[in-house]
Amino acid sequence: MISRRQVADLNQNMQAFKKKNAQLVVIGNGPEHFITPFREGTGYKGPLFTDPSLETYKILEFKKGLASVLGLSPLKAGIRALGTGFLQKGIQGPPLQQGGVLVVGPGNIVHYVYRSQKAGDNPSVEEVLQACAV
Amino acid sequence: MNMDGQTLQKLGRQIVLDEKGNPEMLSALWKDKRVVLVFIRHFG
Repeated sequence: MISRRQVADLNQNMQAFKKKNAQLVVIGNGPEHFITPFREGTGYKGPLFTDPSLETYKILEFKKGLASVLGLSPLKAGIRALGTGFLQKGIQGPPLQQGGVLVVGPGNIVHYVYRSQKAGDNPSVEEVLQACAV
Repeated sequence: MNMDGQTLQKLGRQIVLDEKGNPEMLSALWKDKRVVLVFIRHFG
């Protein structure tokens, strides 16, 4: 539910990213046949890929483990997502894996890295937009 | 920016799949433009 809400939020800001000449790309980690239902659930029409091997998550040192999904704030974020109608429809991907946000390019230049510390820990859209302005 | 060039190059060599299973090399995404890559926890 948290992933869907996060992408739906970003989706509403597609134009803002376009104005910064930045292209939003979503990367997940389940089998590719989960992509279409995910699009339907979020309304996201932009580029969407999956890395079933999770190799990109490993290279980026995104967190993985029980401690990162337990605790009160993921629960709160979950309840908030539930309240806005983003129901998690079963777990499609490793449940203990965390994600993050990366702003790159043009070319091999990294402008921004954010590693989620726990479920529901995502950077604000404003913060990511600011990173695009560099 | 908390990531060295080698790590980025290694990341860029990784292959991701679109919904039809077509492979795409990550670095192709940022070769000519700026991208905001959002790595989600799961598709749930």
